[in-house]
Amino acid sequence: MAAHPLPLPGRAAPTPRRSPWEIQKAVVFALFIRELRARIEGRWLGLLWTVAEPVAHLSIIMTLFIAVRHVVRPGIDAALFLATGLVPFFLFRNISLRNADSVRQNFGLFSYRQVKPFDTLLSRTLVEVALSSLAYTVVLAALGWWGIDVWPARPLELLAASGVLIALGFGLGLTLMVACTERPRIRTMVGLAFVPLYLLSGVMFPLNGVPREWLDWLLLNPLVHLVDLMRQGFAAGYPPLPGAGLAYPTGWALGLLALGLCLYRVERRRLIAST
Amino acid sequence: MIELRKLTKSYATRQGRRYVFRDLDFRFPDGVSIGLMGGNGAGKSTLLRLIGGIDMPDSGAVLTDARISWPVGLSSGFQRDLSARENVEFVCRIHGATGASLRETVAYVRAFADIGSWFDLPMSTYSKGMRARVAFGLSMAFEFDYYLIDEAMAVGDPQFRRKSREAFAQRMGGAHMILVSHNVADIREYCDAVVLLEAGRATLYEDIEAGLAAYEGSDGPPLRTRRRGRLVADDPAARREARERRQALLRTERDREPPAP
Repeated sequence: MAAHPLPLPGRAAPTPRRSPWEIQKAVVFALFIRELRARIEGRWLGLLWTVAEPVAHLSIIMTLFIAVRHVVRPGIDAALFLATGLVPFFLFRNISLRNADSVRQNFGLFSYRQVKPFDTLLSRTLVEVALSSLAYTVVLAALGWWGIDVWPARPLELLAASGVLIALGFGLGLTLMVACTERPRIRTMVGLAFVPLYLLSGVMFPLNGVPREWLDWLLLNPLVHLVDLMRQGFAAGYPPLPGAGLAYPTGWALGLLALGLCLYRVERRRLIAST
Repeated sequence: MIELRKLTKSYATRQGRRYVFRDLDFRFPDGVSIGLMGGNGAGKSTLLRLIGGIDMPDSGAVLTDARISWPVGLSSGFQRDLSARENVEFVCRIHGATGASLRETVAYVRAFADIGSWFDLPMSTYSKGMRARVAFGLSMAFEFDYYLIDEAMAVGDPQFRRKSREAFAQRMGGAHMILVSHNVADIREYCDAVVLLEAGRATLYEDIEAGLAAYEGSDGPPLRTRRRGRLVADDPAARREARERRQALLRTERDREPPAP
């Protein structure tokens, strides 16, 4: 044992009086790093797996579809068609479901008073977007190397659709997170609902062959609009799905965000309270 | 300044709602360390968590302009898949310590916890004691106006306990604590006032002995000092004697420690 006590760290935090914005920034950044580290588990293999998972998924489905000469819409390559459907759909699914679980999985963190449930949602969304962008880049680079033109024809429209998709996922995740605190079974039901949603969103097969009266029903799903808009953003020759537009999914996103924020505001105390 | 305003907290049980506090108004005295006492289930830990801002009241508020710590020695905020270093870095970042300040704090916790290269291994591989060492070191690394302590004063081996005491004494130079404890000796050693929680009400005793006597009269568990058949708190001579006995005990414990490496 040293004769002298260990000198305390000098001007250590908490620094006097940070503004709410500074605290928010610091917390989201800290959570982002932590979440990322937990996800990739500090190993190269972890990072590899994060990218390899969607790539593996993609290659299996692509092999299946192309091998059986599945009918794909003209004007877009089959592989690009699948990639531009699968990656955004997985991003949407991961954002909403992971955010729904974020309070339960991060409960210990609320022992630090700076950390609020909303911060864990923001940071998880950022992590998902970052990892998904990485996976997207890898997939597109691979397709490009394969000789497919992957350069987006309308990058701004692509970005707008991606933004709406992220907002939609976040709004759904926020709503689910609050709802699941009181009714945990909702989480299970929504998890199951993602399977039919996967099939009905036009991720794997084109919807242009669908009869008009059925298409109207399918177009109620905002993901159909977004996935189609993203494909339009990539391939110049891609014929747009009639009735697909940005306004409808934007309405969904804003509605879900408003609902989620209201619920969060009402329940913000109960979310981290012991009961 | 720490003030409770119309604080209400209840828990839903199978027998209906149980109120811990109902419209509790209370102002903690400024600039003193406070011993929070009361019988089991009186709401000491709940109040501590409410003051720390990590639990939420049903209604009402805790008003403060002081910097209040998280409960000292708390390890529930640690992510077990991450190493102690990564967890410490996380806590530094949310408290606004970055760059040189972060490195300094991490170095302090590493030296304080003294668990060698385990510091860079996932915390799921740690023993309970090792986790407690990291948690305590982390609490001591940050400067607060009030440290919240929930009966977690004595962790680890004697050597670590002494180190903890020294760090604590350093911190107490410019700060105060709110200590939840049933241990009368701890309250006497660290606190300047006693707040007794009973039946949802809080009573302030500026005189520790009066507070301890009231606590003794409450429904709480019997005082440890009573084991010889008399109430130490009543008698100044007996109190002095008890203190000397404690110090003697502490000295012998210190002599028994292994020599420094």
